[in-house]
Amino acid sequence: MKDLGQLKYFLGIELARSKQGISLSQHKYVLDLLSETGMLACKPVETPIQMNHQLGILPDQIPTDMGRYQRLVGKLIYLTHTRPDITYAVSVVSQFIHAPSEEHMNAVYRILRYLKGAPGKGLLYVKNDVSNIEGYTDADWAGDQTTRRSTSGYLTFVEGNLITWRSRKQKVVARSSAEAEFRGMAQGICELLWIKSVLKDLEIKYTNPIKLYCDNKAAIQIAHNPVQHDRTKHVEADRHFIKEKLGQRIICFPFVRSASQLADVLTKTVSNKDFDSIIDKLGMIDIYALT
Amino acid sequence: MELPPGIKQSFEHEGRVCKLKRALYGLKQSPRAWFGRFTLAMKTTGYQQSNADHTLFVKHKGGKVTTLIVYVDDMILTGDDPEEIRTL
Repeated sequence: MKDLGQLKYFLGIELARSKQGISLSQHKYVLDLLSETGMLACKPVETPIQMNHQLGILPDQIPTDMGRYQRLVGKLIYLTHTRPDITYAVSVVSQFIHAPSEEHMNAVYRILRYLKGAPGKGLLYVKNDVSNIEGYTDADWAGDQTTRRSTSGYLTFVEGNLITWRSRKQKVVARSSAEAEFRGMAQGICELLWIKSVLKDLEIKYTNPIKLYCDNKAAIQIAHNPVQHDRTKHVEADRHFIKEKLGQRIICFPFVRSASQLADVLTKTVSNKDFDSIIDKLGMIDIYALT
Repeated sequence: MELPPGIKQSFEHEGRVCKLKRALYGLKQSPRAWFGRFTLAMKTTGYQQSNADHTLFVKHKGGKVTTLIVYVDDMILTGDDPEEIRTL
């Protein structure tokens, strides 16, 4: 075994220390990807995915090179390890790897053009006074054009620093936005509980209930008052799970206005302005950018 | 250790067994065997395997903590106990 000294490079992820904090980025990986695809000289765009894209699988779509598409998407998936900003866009394009069309390929190229704008963007971990675990969940409703399934996403923060995030299309069709949100909440809780258990092994304990921010009042209401109800009885398992964690005071659900909902970038397309402000709040910076 | 499929029947018929002295490179089971051995070695040095993530090993000593995380054959060792990191 070999001691390689201070951690600088691990599995394609670059790590840098500064007075500000510790940053993680995949700068080299992005540049390699751009040069491989011949996109080094492309014109950058502001966001990784077009506003209100209607991507889906259409019967009359023009097929594209499937192997190439799959390889590109695979590489982008690896990139999401330090790039929550492209997580949603990548989760969208990866839904078509079995039948990619020209249009889907263009969406992939758009992600590459976005990366070109800030190849060194990564996560910054700073020391601060915050001492808690927090999460944000959000869901869109029936966003998938073909199957009408919803997408939910979560972000988790430990002491104010972004730790894990995910954007995922749900397995079943939700009949209301509250229901989609509710399923997303259950997923977010699972992740937060896992983080709590990792921290417990490190003997770091937080006694206050974990805050999981949610922007859907109806879902919060159902969580607090899980009465048997025609419109909620089919989400029974999630309902009991959430109620149990609420009852043990492990978790609580503060309402967050849609404007300050950070998890939006994991479930839907947002405007350029909102996108930049959310990405900033996630603690993403470009350490290679000249300031 | 299990016999590879195919060899199994012929050996069992004749009542013969294989005796391997250690897990061999290239066998299907070797990564797991390696990790099992690694886990054991870590445990005897006083590390505990985390239940939340089996590739995470933690050692607490005098209020300080050292952690080791494994990904295939890459590892990160970190913590606030430089002495412990040096000795491992």
